[in-house]
Amino acid sequence: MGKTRFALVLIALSAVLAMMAWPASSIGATPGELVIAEGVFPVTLDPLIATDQDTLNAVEQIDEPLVWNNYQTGKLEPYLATSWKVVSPTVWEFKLRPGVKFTDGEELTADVVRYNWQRLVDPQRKSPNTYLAQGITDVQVVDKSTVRFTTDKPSPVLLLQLSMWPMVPMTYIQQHGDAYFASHPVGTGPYMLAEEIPNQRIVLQANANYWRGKPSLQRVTFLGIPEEATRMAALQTKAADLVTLVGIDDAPRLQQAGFTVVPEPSNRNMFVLLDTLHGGPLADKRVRQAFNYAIDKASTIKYVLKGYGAILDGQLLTKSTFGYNPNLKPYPYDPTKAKQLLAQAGYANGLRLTFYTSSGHYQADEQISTAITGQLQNIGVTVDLETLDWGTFLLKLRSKQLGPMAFQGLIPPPDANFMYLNQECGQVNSYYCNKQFDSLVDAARTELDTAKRRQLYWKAAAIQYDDPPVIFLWQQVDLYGISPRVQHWQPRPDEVIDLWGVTAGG
Amino acid sequence: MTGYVLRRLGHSVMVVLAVLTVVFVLIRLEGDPTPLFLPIGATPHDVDVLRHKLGFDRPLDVQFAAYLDRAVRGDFGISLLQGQPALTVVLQRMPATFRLTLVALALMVFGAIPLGIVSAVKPNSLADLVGTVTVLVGQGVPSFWLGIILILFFAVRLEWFPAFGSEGAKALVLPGITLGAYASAIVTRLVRSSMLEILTQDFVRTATGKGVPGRRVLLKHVLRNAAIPIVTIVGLQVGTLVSGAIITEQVFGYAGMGQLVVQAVTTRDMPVVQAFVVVTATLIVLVNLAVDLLYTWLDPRVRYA
Repeated sequence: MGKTRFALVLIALSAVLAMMAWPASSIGATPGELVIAEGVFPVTLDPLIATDQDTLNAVEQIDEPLVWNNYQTGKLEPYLATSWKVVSPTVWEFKLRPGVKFTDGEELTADVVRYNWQRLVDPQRKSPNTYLAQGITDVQVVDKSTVRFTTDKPSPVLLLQLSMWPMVPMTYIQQHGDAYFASHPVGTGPYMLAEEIPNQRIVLQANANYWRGKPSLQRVTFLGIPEEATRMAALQTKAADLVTLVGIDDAPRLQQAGFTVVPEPSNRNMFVLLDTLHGGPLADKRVRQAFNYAIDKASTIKYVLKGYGAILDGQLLTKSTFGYNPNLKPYPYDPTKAKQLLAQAGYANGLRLTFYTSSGHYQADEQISTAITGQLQNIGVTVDLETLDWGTFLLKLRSKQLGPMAFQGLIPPPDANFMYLNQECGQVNSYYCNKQFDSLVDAARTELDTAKRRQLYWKAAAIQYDDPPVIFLWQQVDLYGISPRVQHWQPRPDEVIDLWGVTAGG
Repeated sequence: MTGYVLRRLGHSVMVVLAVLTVVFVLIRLEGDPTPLFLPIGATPHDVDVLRHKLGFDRPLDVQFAAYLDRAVRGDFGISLLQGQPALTVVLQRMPATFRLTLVALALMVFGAIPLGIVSAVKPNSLADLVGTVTVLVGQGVPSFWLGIILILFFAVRLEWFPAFGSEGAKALVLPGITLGAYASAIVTRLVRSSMLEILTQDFVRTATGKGVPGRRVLLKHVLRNAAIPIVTIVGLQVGTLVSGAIITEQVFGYAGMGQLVVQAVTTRDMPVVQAFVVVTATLIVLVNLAVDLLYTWLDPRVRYA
C-alpha cells in the first residue's frame, strides 16, 4: 500500500493506543443518593410473595417488622413493637409503638397486625412465606396498640418469625387490592417508592415522617444485573455505588481500582450432603467421620476461594445462629485417621460414590467439588463427580434424589430450629435420621427458657458432630463492592442490606 | 401474484402449527407435564388439582385440541415467577428486544452491506483488508466475550456508553454491536462473494462497455441482482438475532425477552418458556414471509413461481 495509506493506518493505530491509555474520568454522583446493584431485579414489592433476599432488600426499606434481629448481639429487639411478654406458654402479648403511620396516613394498630397474619396464611393467596406463621393459631386485638399471638405449642421462635414479617397497610390493600399494592407499595419504613421502571430500576425516596428520624439518604435505587462482570463494570463506571456478589477473582481488580471489597461471612453453611438413609457405606457413621477427616478445609479455602471462607466449627450453625455450640471445633485434617476409620468400617479397599454439584450457583461450586473429589481420592474413595444445572439440582433435591453426595449451601433463619429441620427423621429435605438428635430438637422446639433451649441445641450439635449428616465445610463469605463515597455501611450475615445511618457523599 | 402470497401465508401458518406441535410433544416427553407448571415446593395434592384443571389427565387428542385452542387465543398459562399470563410477560419485553434487534439490523444494513460492496469492488485494497479482518473477528469471536470486552473498553475505560441497562439510546449501542457482530460478518462475506460473482457476468461487461457510468452499473444492475441473496441472508440472520439476544441481554443486563427467557429457564418457569418459543417462532416465520414477499418486488420472475 502507498505511503499515505500507511501513514493513515499508523495514525489510526496510535489513536486507538492513546484511547486505551487515557485515564478514565470520574463522574460525580449526587450526595445523598445511593445506587445498589444486586444479582436479581426485585420481582415484586409485596412481602407476601417475595422470597429471595435481593427482592426483600428493596421490600424491607418500605415495610418493617414488629421485631428487629440484631445479629451482633444475638438479641431480638423492639422495633414496631416496643415490648412483649409471655402471658402463658402459648400466648404472647405485644405492645405496639404509638404514633407510627404508613405513608398513606393509616395508623399501625393491632387490627393491622391481625390483618397481616390473616393475609399471610390466607389459603386463597397461597403465599410461599406461610411457613413464617407456622405454629401461630390466632392473633387477637386486645386494644388499639396491644395484640396477642396464640401458638399451638410453646413457640420460642415466634420473635424470630415476627422479625421476618414486614408489616403492610390494611386499609390501603383492602381498597386497592394485592396487584396494585405490589407495584405501589406503602409502608412504615424509612423509604417509599418514588418510581419503578419495570425490570430496570426501583427508585426509593426518603420517608420524611419516618418514626425513627430522618433517613440518612435521600434516594436509594435498586438495579438488577445478573451478569457478574457487568455488575462489576457498573461499580467501576459509578453507575452503582454498592454491588453484591463480587466474584473472588474480581476482588483484587476492584481493590486496585480504588473500590472497597467488604467480605462478610454469611449464614450460608456450605457442606457436602451425605445420604444416610439408603444404606451403603454412608449408613456407617465411621465412613462419614472419615470423610470429614479427609477434607483439608484450610487449603481449599486458601487456594480455591482465595482465602474467602470461614470454617464451620463442626456444626451446621454459624456463630450468629441461636444454638451455636462454642465447645465444638472443626474436624482436623487427618487423612491417616480417615483411612483408619474407613478400614474399621470395612472399606480398606476403598469405595465408589456419585457426587452431585451445581455449576455457578454457589461460589466456586464446581472447583470446590473437584478439590473435594481429589481429597477423597487420597483416602481411597473414588468419587464420580456430576455437574448439574441448578434447575435439575433443585428438582433432585426436592425429590430426595440428591444422594449419595451433593455439594450444597443452606442459609436458614438464624436459629438452630430451622437448620435442624433439614436433618430430622422424615422431614421433606432430610437424608438423616438419628432418634436421639430428634428428641433433643423436638424438646427444644417447645422450650421457652432460652438457657435450657440453648443447652438442648448444644447437645444436638454434639450428636451431629459424632454422627455427621454431612461433610462440614465453611460459611460462604459474601463479597460486596462499595465505592469510596459510601460510608457507615456494614454487611450482615443474613444478607440483609441495612441502610440506617449510611451516607453517600459527593 | 395473489396466489403466491396466499400460498406463502398458508405455508407460514403450517410452520407455526408445526412449532406448536413440537412444543406440545417436548413437554410431554418425560410423561406427566404437570410438575413443570408448578413451583418447586408444590405438594402432590397441588399437582393433582392442577393436572385436572389443565386437562393433563385427558386423552392426548383431546389435550392437543384444547392446547391448540388455548394457543390460538394466546393462553400459555400463568408465569410461575410473576403471576401474570405468560404471553403478556413475554410481549411486555418484546419492544426492548425489538429495539436492540433494530440496532443490530442497522449495523448489518448500513455497515455490513456497504463493507461487503466495497470489498468486492476494490478487491485486495485496504478496504478489503478491513472487511476481511472484520469478518474474521465477527465470526470467530464469541458474543459473550465480545460484550464483556466492549463493556470493559467503551464503558469502564472510556465511559462513552453505559455498561448495562436498557434506558436511553446510548444503552443500545454496545449491546447492539455485540448482537449484530456475528450476523454482520456473515452478511459482509456473502455480499462480497455475491457481488464478485455478478461483477464477472456478461451483462455487467456489456453495460460498462456501453458507457454506463461505474456507479450506475453498480447500483442499478449489479446490486439489484445481488439483492436476492442479500435479502435472504439478512432475513435468515434475524432469526439468529433473536436467539443471540439471549446472550447479549444477559451480559448487558438488558431487560428484553432474552433476559426473561434465561430467568424462566433457570427458575423452571415453563409457561414463559413455552410462550417465548412460540412468539419467537412466529416472529421468525413472519420475517421469512416478509422476505419472500420482498422477492416479488425485487425479482419479477418470482411472481410466477
